Amino acid sequence: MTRELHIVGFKVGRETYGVPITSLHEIVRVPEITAVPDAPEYMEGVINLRGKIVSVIDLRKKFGEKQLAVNRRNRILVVEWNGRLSGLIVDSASEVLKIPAGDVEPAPAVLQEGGLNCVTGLGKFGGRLIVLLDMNKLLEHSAVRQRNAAGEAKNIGTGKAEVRGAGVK
Amino acid sequence: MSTGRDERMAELREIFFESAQELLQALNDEALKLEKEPGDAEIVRTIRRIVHTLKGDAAACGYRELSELAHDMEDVLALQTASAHTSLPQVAFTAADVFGAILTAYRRRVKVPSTEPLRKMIHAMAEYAGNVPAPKKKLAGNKTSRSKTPATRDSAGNRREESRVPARARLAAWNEYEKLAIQKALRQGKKLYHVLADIDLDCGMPIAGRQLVQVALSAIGEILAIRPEAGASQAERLVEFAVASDQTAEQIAARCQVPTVISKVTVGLIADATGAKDPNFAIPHPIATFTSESAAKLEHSPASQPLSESEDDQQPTTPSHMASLADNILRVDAERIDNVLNLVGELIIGKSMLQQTLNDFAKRFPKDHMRGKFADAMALQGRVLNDLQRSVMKIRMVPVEQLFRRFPRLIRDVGRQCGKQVELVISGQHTDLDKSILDAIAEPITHLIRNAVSHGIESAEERQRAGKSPNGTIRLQAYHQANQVVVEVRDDGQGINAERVKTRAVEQGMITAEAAAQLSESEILDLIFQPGLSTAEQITEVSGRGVGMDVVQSVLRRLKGTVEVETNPGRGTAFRLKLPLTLAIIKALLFRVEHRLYAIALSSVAEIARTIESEIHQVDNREILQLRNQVLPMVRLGRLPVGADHGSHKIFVLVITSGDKKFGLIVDQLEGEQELVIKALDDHAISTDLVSGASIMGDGRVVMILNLSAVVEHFSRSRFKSSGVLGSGMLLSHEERSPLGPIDRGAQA
Repeated sequence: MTRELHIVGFKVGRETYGVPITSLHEIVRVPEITAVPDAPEYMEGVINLRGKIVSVIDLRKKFGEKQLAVNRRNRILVVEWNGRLSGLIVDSASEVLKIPAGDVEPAPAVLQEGGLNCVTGLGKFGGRLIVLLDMNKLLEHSAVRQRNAAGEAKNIGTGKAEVRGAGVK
Repeated sequence: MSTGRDERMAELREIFFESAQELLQALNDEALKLEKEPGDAEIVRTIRRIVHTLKGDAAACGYRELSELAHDMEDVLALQTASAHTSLPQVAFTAADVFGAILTAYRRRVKVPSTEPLRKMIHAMAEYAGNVPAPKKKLAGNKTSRSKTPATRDSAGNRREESRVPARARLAAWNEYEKLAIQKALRQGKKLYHVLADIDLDCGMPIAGRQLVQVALSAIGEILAIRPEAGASQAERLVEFAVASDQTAEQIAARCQVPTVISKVTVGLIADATGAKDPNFAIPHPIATFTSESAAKLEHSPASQPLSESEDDQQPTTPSHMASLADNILRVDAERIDNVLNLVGELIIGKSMLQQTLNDFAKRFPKDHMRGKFADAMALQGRVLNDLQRSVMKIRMVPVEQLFRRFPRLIRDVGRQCGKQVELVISGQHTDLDKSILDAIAEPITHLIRNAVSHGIESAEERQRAGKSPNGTIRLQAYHQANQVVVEVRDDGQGINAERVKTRAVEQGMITAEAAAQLSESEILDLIFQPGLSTAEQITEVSGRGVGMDVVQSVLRRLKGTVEVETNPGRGTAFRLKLPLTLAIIKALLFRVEHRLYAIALSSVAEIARTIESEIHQVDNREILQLRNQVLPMVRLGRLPVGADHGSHKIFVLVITSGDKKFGLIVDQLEGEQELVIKALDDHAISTDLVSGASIMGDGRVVMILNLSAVVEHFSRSRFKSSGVLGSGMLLSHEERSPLGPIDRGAQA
């Protein structure tokens, strides 16, 4: 008996990505998003998920997609990470794919070398290629980057403090 | 089965940790007292009683190291020379520290730390006693008197001996205190029962079993005596209690049935109110022996024998202590209360949803007669909900005394290190504060006090030269002010030299000399909260204050509080921590900026003014508004208006107070006020400090709650930016800012 992986497929730009169904909390339509001031660019804001406040990042911005089409097929993947819920905006997400374990190839080394080593493998499904992702790594990566960014921003802030003194002079 | 037992044991341990913490605090308090009045026998006795209680409780929970150490300590304190020993306060302090360390170790389930320093001190005291012959005799006498009352000793040898004694015979040996208690209870018309609990020795925690019965009994009556005495470090199969209660024997027996731990319980009536009238009450079985003996013993009440007296009055501490826990004070895990509070929060959201629906309904069917009924029901629900919320909040409130109690010891220790005599005057210790806030400010206040002692207060000589009393005074004060609680730490030391702070800040490159020259005195004092300045060591030597002051501020900011400094060179410094009453729910003012909804705490809004754009002037790259006779700096949260007629654009200005500063926030639109349940934001994903939380409105919208102190700080920092109008567009997103920002500025220029 061949083992099947249950993968939720979602689209960002033209690519189809997949995550194990167990790593998802739920998939919701995009509700009204409340912006958070001073947040990084890909941080869309927060949503109200049945009384819980969940922060949402735009996966399309994160993956460097230029065209951000807003349409009714947009979805938010809600995942639990570090004990908290986080949302990821994707272009669309509808299908659950059953991919035989044999049809999954390990991720090429190129993908692992990059900063974003959250690709766990490449799945073949009906002639399509599905990039399988590890949600935890993806979120971890963004959190680390964000923290760094925040740190830098602070440094820049104090740096400015000195420069601006000179400016006043 | 075993899980049930484990759970009970865990519960018991929790109770133990709680009460042990209190005991340690009491130990510290008493040691401080003793230091002031050395040789006071009464205080020594109190200390001994505390140590004894700790020993008993620790043994009941199976914490052997602690109970043994406490036992040794207790023995030394029993020596008559102990009270005269000058190092006793020090020993007590060390004991409190060592016990505390052991408790922490137990709690974290790590290895118990070294107890050597305390052991050495105890030995030294014991030896000191050994050199004095007379008390030794006393000690011997004490020992024999103890072994006469069986089962009070907890050394292994004695116990084995006792185990052979038939259980009932033990009851023959009530001590004086217990006899008094028994008689008192009888006079009150209570029935006296003898409860014999047979503890299953196969159960995992036999010692805990006894505690369980004890807790069960204290819930239904008053435990007058226990045999064997608390403190036995090993399991006893049979435990006897004398209990005064108004319930029947069957009820009591049912109460004591603890499955898996207690195998058998026998309850016998010893005496009831009628019997009490007769001092030689004729009672079935063992009490008969006890009564005759008690009458005889009571006559030579042992006032003349301080040792045996202290031996006696310490015994009831364990039962009465546990009884008081069970009686009317409920110890609840804070988490459970938080859960209730969360639910109340959900209810409040639900209420605003209903209110919203009602409003819509009223709009659609203005003439419907159901409207009034709905409104009535809503009003009632609202009232009940308010009460509910207030009650739950009240549960979370604890007097600040809980925190203040720690500081006398701290001041003593730090004062000693610095060679200064410092007095602590505490007032307002009954002011209530949310528990989580209280926990959070412990560190900042400790820090402020430490600073005040080590840097603020001068040496005795210096003080005398300045014409002050050689002893420094630190006042710790808590009081209510409007919707806030203020905790003030005030010393009468040298004060902060603002000039030195300024020089130092310039030297360190934090600000330029020019910028520094423009700063007002309070702005200079605010510099001490900057992290850069605080790490500089010289400044702490020169003017005091500094190390970790940024920590104080960051904690206060997290709590949505503020910290103020007031200093008077030569006269002292005061730090005022202003704290919100609670963290969970605030009354908020809602407003819109760039069509987005935001909220700020209503308590910080001093005034709301309406004006038009042309009233706002620009001075030195800063927007200001003249409001009546004051000039307010403006913080523009959104973007500057563009277009020809923007001068007549109507805007709202919220006059806010943050600390001692006043600012105006320019907002587009007001939305009204509402109670908001604060929900924490995911701080992994959201790194900004501009918002302190978020809340969900009745219609499901999420609203950001602004953190005013951070907003003000961002604004003050932006003071030095070289171009553009300062402090504007704080709430704009990246997209809005990057393409439009420069254009805006261009339009403005």
